[in-house]
Amino acid sequence: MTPILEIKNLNKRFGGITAVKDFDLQIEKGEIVGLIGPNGAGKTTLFNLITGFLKPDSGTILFKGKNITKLKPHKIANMGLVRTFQLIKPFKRMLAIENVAVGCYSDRFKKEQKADVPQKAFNTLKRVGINPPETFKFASSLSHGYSRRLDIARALVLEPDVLLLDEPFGGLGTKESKLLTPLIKKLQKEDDLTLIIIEHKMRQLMKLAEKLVVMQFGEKIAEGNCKEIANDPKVCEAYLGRGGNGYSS
Amino acid sequence: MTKVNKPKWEFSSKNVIFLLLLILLIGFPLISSGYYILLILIFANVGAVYAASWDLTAGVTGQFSFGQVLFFGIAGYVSGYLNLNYGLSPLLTIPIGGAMGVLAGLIVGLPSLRLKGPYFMIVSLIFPGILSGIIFMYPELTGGETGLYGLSPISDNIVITYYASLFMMLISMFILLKILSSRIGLVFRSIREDPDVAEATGINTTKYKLLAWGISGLFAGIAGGFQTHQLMTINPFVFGAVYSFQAILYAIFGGAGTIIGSVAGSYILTTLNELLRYITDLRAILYAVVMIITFLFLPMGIYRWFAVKFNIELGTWNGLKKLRREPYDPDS
Amino acid sequence: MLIAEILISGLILTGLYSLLSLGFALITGVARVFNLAHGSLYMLCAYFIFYLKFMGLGPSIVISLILTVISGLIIFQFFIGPMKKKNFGAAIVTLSLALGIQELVKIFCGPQYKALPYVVNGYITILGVRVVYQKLLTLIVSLIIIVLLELFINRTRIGKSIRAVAQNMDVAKLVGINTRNTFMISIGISALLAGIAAVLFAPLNSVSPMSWTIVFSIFPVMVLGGLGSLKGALVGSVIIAFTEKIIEFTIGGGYLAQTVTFAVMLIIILVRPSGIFGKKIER
Repeated sequence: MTPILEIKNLNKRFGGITAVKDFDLQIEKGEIVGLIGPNGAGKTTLFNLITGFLKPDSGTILFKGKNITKLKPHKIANMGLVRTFQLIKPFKRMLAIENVAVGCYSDRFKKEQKADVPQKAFNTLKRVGINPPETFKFASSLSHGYSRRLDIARALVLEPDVLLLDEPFGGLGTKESKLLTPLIKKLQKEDDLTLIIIEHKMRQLMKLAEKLVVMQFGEKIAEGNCKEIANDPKVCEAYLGRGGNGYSS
Repeated sequence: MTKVNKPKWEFSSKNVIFLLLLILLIGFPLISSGYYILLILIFANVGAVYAASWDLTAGVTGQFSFGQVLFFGIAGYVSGYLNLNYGLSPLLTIPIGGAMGVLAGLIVGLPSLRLKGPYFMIVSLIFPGILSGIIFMYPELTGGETGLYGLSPISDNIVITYYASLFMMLISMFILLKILSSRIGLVFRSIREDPDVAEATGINTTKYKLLAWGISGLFAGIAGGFQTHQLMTINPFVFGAVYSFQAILYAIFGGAGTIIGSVAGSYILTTLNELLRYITDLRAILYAVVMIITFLFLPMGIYRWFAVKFNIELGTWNGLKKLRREPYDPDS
Repeated sequence: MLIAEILISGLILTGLYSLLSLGFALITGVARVFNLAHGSLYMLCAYFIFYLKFMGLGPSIVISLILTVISGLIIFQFFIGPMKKKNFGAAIVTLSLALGIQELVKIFCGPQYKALPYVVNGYITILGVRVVYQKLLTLIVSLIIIVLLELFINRTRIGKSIRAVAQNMDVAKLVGINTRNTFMISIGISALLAGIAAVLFAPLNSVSPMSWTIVFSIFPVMVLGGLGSLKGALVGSVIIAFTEKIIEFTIGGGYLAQTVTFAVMLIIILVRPSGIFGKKIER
């Protein structure tokens, strides 16, 4: 079966700094992949490259068999490859439900599908656990936990096949994180989503991811299931420095 | 799900106030036939449409520019030219001016897509100057420094002209407010809040930005055409600082992003401006002072301040009305 | 000789543009706003000198410079500081301020040009061109100021903090630089440079309420050199100044010369907006 997302030989430099180097990755439909690595490894840059916010210097990205390397972000999102952002970026001066409604009017949907947007937006918010009165509050006044869910709702409304989550647990406390994990699991099952998750909170990530990809200095240094990665000496060295071998998660 | 029957029109305080104001505006000439006051109101109506056009690109869609006067002036010149040389009546030249405004809007919109904020600001600041320079270079076409004069008026009767301006203002506001509360307005606002995220949400920001520029140009052009015929003249000084500032000032003073705020801003400031007409120098200082005070102390604008103070609900997306009329069923 | 004329007038214009654009670039780079009232500082200093003539040359210059720096600080503290939308807000407010000041000056001082006294009288003939000593003095002093500024920015601790804040304000805060003070110092220097420009060049050109529009003339310099870059301001000044003078003396007309430089600026914005030394702008 052709992988739903294929990254071949991706390269990106900023002046003298190599952000992504010779990156290869294949993701099958329905997989949940964790993307980890120390800060500055190039994970978010990779997301930017995949979703069209940055143009790679060389390499190809294939989504559902089509070459999306040079496409604009909105086109890629409308094909079913959607992302969230590392720092929450709500449409601040718009209500939560308006935030979600925007995506309903994208070119992804045909005219008939745009008939009942208010209800659809309302329901999508319900799915991520946002109900009135929060539904009708300004996005800027939502708590951090709700804001993260709003981000996910905004992505969901585009009915994606592949969802790139950039640090979805960022800034969440232990309790909130514990509540978010089953939500993500549920959504993934209900919509048969393929997920790539950048995350530093290992405990939560391990509960979700079946496969881990490790990046350092822009390169992929390891790929495998959680156990393999935890015992991989290169990974330990990347996080803990030399002599950190023997520490498993 | 139970359907609640809500009337199509509510007796909210906001609607009552608007209705009263509307009646006042329509009935005004019947009460007072003062020529001067009607003139002020005509200027106020033109100014409102002009300011609202800027508000659409800047306040609603987040595309700030100093170049609104380009649409106003170009449309004005086209209207005047057609009227002078081909004898077309204002009924034709004003819409054609509006169409030229759309074109100008798209032409200005294109560089705004590629240029980063400060650079686009510089360009929009310089362009009106360049345009007036071009006008000086072709006096046979444009009348040079004296401009085009002796144009047909809207009407010889000031009352009719007033009603024409009122009609133009009301229709423009109606259309622009409809746009603001529609899905288009929703997308525009998302572009203002965060254009990158809007892109990530599947919105073709290029298409919508150009749409905003086009609509903005249309209304600025109509305002420009109307004013040209109302004054029966147009000259290159229309591209000067005063008109460049005016749209921005009226819109921000009234309330950026609200569209309707431009009406309040225009009415108040036009009246203020005319009251101080005794010393013509004072217009520039007045604009400068009001601009500075507004930005420092009242950046939300008069209309929004008013609405927050008196708890009037600010209009947002019309989709909300649909949800509120059919309340959700907590068990579904 | 034509070449000598172009050379001399080109150098003089370079001096004027350098001082103004260095000041402008300083604020753009550090505070990241466009101070469109920068030209007003130039103008005000010239007017200060004119009205303080009676004090004698030295004292009038010193006091005028002090007043100019104070004006710059006031502008920053009260008009730019409280702005929420920094980019657009500051541009509009400073533009309004500039217009307002123009009108006030018109009302209180009259709209006519005012001539400022020369520091030295007399002239010398170089390569067949009559050069007044004032112009030579202007050139020499401009050069000294530019060199002093360069030393200050690159060799002193305060200069280092200015460079740091210009590069990355957040990190500068993290390493303990007092950004507020750095802002103040930058504004002060910027205003001082505008004032010095007035001291040196206003006697050569005389001053009017519209003189603040000179800030628009340095836009092409900033765009060419790169917004916020000091090196760029210098290089840009040389190129733009000489381009203008060459056109003015050969094809003819100061108007045409400015039109050409503005056209060049537009082309640069379209092709390579970051200019020569500016930050590269991605997407």
